[in-house]
Order: sequence, then C-alpha cells, then structure tokens
Amino acid sequence: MTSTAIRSPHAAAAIGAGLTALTLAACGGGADAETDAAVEASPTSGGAATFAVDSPFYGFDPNVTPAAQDARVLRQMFDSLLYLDADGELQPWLATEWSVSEDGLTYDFTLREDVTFWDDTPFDAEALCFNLDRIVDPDVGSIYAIGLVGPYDSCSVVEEFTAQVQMSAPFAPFLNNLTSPFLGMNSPTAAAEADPADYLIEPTGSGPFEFVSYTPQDRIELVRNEDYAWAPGNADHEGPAHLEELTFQIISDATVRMGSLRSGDVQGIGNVPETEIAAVEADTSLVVTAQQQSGAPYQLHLNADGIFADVAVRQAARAALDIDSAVEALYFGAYERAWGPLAPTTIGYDPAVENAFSFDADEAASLLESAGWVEGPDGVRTRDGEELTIRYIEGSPNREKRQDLATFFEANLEAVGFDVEVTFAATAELQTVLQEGEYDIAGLSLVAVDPNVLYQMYDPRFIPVPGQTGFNMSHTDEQSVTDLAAQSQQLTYGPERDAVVAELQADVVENARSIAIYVPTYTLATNGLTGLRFDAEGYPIFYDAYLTGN
Amino acid sequence: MATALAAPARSPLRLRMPRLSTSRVTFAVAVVWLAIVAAAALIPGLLGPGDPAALDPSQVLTAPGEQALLGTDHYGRSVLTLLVHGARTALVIGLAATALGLVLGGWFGLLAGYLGGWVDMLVGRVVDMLMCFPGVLLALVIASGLGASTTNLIIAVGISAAPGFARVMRGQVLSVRSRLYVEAARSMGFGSGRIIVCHVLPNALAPSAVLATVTVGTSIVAAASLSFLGLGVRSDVPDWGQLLSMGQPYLASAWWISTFPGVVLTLTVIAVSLVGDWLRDRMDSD
Repeated sequence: MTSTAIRSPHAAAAIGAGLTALTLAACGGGADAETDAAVEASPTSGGAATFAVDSPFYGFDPNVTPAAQDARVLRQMFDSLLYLDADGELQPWLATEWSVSEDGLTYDFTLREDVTFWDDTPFDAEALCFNLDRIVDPDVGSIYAIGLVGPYDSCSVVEEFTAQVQMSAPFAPFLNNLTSPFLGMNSPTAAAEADPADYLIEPTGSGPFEFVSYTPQDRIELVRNEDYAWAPGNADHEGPAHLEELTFQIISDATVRMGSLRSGDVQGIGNVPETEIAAVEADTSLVVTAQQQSGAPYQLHLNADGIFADVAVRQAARAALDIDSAVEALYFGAYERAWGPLAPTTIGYDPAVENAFSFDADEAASLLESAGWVEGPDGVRTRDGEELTIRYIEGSPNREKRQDLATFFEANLEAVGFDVEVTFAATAELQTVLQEGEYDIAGLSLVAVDPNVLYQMYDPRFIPVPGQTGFNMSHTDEQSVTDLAAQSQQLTYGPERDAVVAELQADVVENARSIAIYVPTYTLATNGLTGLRFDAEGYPIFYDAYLTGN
Repeated sequence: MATALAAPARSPLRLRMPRLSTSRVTFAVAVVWLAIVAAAALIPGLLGPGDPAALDPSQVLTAPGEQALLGTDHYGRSVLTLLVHGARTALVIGLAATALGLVLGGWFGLLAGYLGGWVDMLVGRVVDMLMCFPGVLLALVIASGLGASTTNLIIAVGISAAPGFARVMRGQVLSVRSRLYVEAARSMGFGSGRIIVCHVLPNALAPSAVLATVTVGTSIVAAASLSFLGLGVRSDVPDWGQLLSMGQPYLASAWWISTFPGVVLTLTVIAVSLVGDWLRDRMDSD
C-alpha cells in the first residue's frame, strides 16, 4: 500500500493566516496590553479563575453535544489527535505520525505512549478505536461528532500504539476534523461503564483540567490535572496547567457579566456586549479579544418551497435588505458583515462573493414588478389575488441580537411591498416550525473548520422534515448543487477542491438561496488573567493562562 | 445694617402669598404632570412628533441632546416619541383596570357588608386568600393563563386590585348599615335592593373613591411590570414597561432608554397618589 503523508494541506494554510490577521485586527489596543502584561509578569502557578459564559450548557460528552458553548469547556478537558498550528498546518498531538492511502480510504495513526486518562486508563490504539466506534454507535446518540467522522467504517488495532482507520468513501475533511474538541478522546473505561446520559454530565478525558462537578444552569468546576505532560507543541509551557482551579459560570445577563468582570468576581467573560467593547478597550485593566468563527456565517435561508420558489422574489428580498446599516447599528463594528455561505476564515472561502449584491430598494421593487407582484392599495403587493406575505421565524432568547436584525429587516421588506409576519419562538416551537417547513425566512449559523458545511446546508438529504432536524433550511434541491457538494467531499485539499467550493459559494449567492448577514465573532474579556490562546475554530485554551493579580 | 434692613423688606412679600404652601405647590405640579400625560394619550402627535414606529439605523443609541431630546433607542427611534405614544396604553390600562377592580371588589364588599352571615364569611375568606398573593404575582398568574392582549392585561390587573376594594367597601358598609337613616329606610319597608343602591352605596363610596385614585397609579405600574416580564402586547410601538425591558441590556452604555420610562412611570404614580391624598383630605374635612 502506498501512503502519502499529509503534512501541509494547502488550503488549511489560508485559514491560519486569516485567523492570525483577524486576531491582530480585531484586538486593537487589547493585543498590546496583553503583550505588556506578559513582559511584566512571568507565569505564576496556582490560583483559581472563573470564566463567565452567557448561556447554559448542553453537556460535556464531546462525542454527543452539538453546542459551541460546550466546546469552550471541552477544549480544557479533552485532547485531540492533531492540532492546526498558526499557519493552518496539521501538527502532532496525541498522534505522533499519520498517513493516508492514495485512494483516501485508509488512515494510519501512530500514538504517543505516555498518555493516561484521569482514571489512569492508558491512551492507546484500543482507546482511539473505542472512541471512533462510540461516535457511530446509535445508542450514544451523537449529534455533531458523527458528522465530523463522515463515512467512517471501522478502526483496527495494529499494534499497542498503532491504529488503522477505514473509510467507506474518501472524506477529505477527516484529518482537520480530528483537531476539533468534539473529537476529543474519552477514557474507554469511564465511557463504557457509564450510561450515556450520565456520562454527558460527568465525562473523563486526558486534558489539562479534570472535571470536578457540574451544577446545571449554574456552573462547571474543573481542577488541574497534576499528571499532565502531553501539551501540544504550540503551547507556551509543558507539564501541568498554571491555574489550579478553573470554573465556568453561567451569567446570562450581559450587564451583570460585565459588572462581575470589572469588580474582579470573575477573571474572564465571554460575549462582551457589543455596545461596551469600546469602553472595555479603553479600560487598561481589562483585555478584550475577538475571534471570528469559521464555518457558515449567520444567514437568512429563503425557503424555496413557497413564495421564494421564484428566484426573482428571492433576489428582490435580498436587494430590499439594508444589511450594512443593520449590522453596523446593532454590533458597532464588533461583527463583520458576511457575503456568502462561508465565513472568511473557513478553508476554501472565496472572496469573489464580496460585494456581489447591494442594498437597492428600487431594484427590489422592479424585480417584484417584473415577477408579476403589483402594489396593492395598502402597500402590500399582490399577484392574482394572492398577497406577498412571508413568515419570518427567529429563535428566542435573542441570541446575538438576531431578533433585532429581524426587526430592521421586517421594516426593509415592508418598504418594498412584502407583508412580513415575524415570530420569535423558543427551541421546541422553533424546531416544529422548521421541521414542518412553515416559514419563508429562517436564520442559521454553523461553526466548522471545513467547507463541508455547504453539503449540510444545500444537499436535499438535509432538508428538515417532521421528526428530523436538518440544516438545508432553504429547501435547496438542485442536482448541480448536490453534485458539487459530493465532489467537494471526495477531493483532497488543493486548488481543485477550492475551485469546486468556490463554484458552490457562487451558486448560492447568485441564486440567493440564503442571504449572508454577519460573521459570528466570539468576544472575550479578561481581568487579571493572561496567556489565553485560541484554537483554529476560535475556542479559547486555558492551559497557558495564569493570574496576574491586578 | 444690611441684614436688619433686608429682613423687613422680605416679610411683606411673604405676607402677600400666605397660601402658597409646599403641599399646594406639589399638588399643582402633580395636576400639571397628569394633564401632560393625558394630553399625550389623547393627541400624541402634539408632544411626540414623527412616526414612533419608523426605524433609523443611522441614529441608533444617540445620547439625549439637540438631535433627540431624550435620546434614541437601539432601533434609532426617539425615546421621547415612544414615551408619548405609549402614554395612551398606560392610561387606558390604569383606568380600566381600576374601574374593573372597583366594580368587582366594591360589589362583593357591598354584599358581604350588607348581608353579613355566610355571604360575608365566603367573600371574606376568598378576599383573604387573594390578598395572600402579592398583587403582581396574582396578575402574573392570571395574565400568563389568559395570554397577551390589552384586554387580558386589564382583566389581570383589575382582578388583582379587586380584593382591596372589597375590604374597604365592606368595612364602610358595616358602619353605614347601622346608621339611623338606613334603619329608618328599613322600618319604612323599603326593599334591600333599594336600600343598598339609594342609601348604603352613596354613603359608603368615598373611601373606595380615594383608594381608586391610588389604584390607578399602582395599576399602571402593575401593567408595566407585566409588560416588562414579556406578558404585554407586542406591537410596533412599545408601551412603557416594554421600553424599560428593551433598554435593560443597554443600561451601562445607553442609560436613557430605560431611565426615562422609569422616571415617567415614577412621576405619574407619584402624581396620581398626590391627587389621591388631596382627595382624601377634602373628603375627610367634609
């Protein structure tokens, strides 16, 4: 068998560079402050830090949970086989060597020999195979990780620390996906013993912080793993983490979260209110960082089974939206405006989508006019007695001010003759509406490193139906799109794959299948805590963090 | 000497306005404020120019100043215009809920006080039970049961105000019932209905009327609280409670969105209770 070692995936380089540039751009004064602090104080060991987050957790079994919120905790507790360095190149972590066969079906991994889980179970080839098999086990109920392993077929133990993974079809994103916290390694002993529902809230990994306790709706407490000696190569130090205790506390009210940070009750917070970023940057005792998330930006998906079946109506709706003004008014520059179905830091992002359309109410009106929708007496357009009524659904609570966006867009759309019914629904009701297709506009963003999210969003297999959630909320069912998505999965990283991914992005924008609004950006501020790093997906890493005691 | 000369010079001025006491000034201010609120409710276009529902992304979170007297909210709407246009909802709910509470509570209090016996027992226990709940909690339970609409908000707040009226009315009826003119009416053979309506009710109404003025204020606050908690009616123009809750995430950066509705609510409630005080004083002296 001939094998090709993949050490330098071309496209991955782009995201790394992008991320770095972005971090520098977004930090502003913050980055300087962090450097100054690092010069003044050398890392001190010990102490307890609390990090406040804005919303509750789903759970901490990396194989099961789908939530980005959880990944911020998972990253501290679980180690991955590989990591992506600042240049976007794959580097060894728990796996020391890896290779993939020319047909893209067989992967070989050589593993570190000195790694143990918190329960002293050794990490070996058997543990790796256990984890991969567990993800595809229907009883475990994996929501997100199962998508990351794609056409996984089987895993076999070659030697104690050598494993071979078999795919049923080529799946290019696999190695990059292995860097995700959602493919972190669980202790086979602990995971096999516990019921999946119990393991979800009391997991066992091998990471630098060990799970201590979890109080739902309140906090999760972690303690330093004193035996930790397998930090990835890009870490600033070796051995156990600096912080002795690390707590993630849920403080949903932004004002209280900010107050707790200023008073020093907590050492870091996530989701800094956009309106306060300028004030936080001006405050020398606080450090603020912004991380754009890769994957799919926040988009409005236009349901093609309904009034938006006509591409002219979709384009009209897009031309009617004053996206620039709304994004600026609500996020004050903290979030960048998005243009296509991929966020700029995603592998294969094509900048050609930028400025491909613009806000033009007159054009929207003439598009509707030529599609046969004429203005009625009350300002609502009609065609053959049917009113141009659309249902716009958005989730509740008001995540990232998406409801406020809906309020602005409702006004924009009504100005050109749409009649808009906006509904804000909590998760259960929202899922029902989405699954039954009882909407015309619905919003969605997805975090991922690989452009494979396009497949999840525009392949007919993922159209939501009653009883099954799916991300193809535009109900796109075009053979050309399906073919392109399939092709992008099977090509290895390189210009050929980039071209296919670019073609997909262009198709989505040209046909206005979805309208990109903003790039989700994770903002984070710290007070007396320094040394935080971020992984390729933008999740914080606390391993190198230490207290500076101001 | 300057001081010696100044003192007699001031005294004639004081003598000329002996009736301008503090309480009269505050009463006058209260009446003026209520007149402004009433004017806002009747002709909102006069005090709050412009379309309150028009969004303007280029004007979001403008601080109070020349451009917008009380600043703008996160949609770029003028807080002043929103407050003026929200006055009608506040007044309508305040007055209607009070009327409902007065009629409902007053009627049961009247029956209980006049008839006594098991009716008094039953009404008394129900009122005791309802009074165990804090008013807002009771309204909250009713409003979440009925769903969000202006009528339901009035019903919820009105019902929660009713027990207070029932108690006051019953107490007053008990004292009126044994008065001589009631005895006289009864001895002349008048029916219970006529005695209640013509003799008891008019003479027992005064304390309830005073309570009603105060209740208008508390009803406005109760309705705003329910709105704040998301049980209000979602419309293009938010009411005062909704405005308060909308501004809450911006307290640290744009204090004016929540603060001005809070100030307006407070002033309105204080004004109403000052008028209530004045009314009580007048009735006591009669």
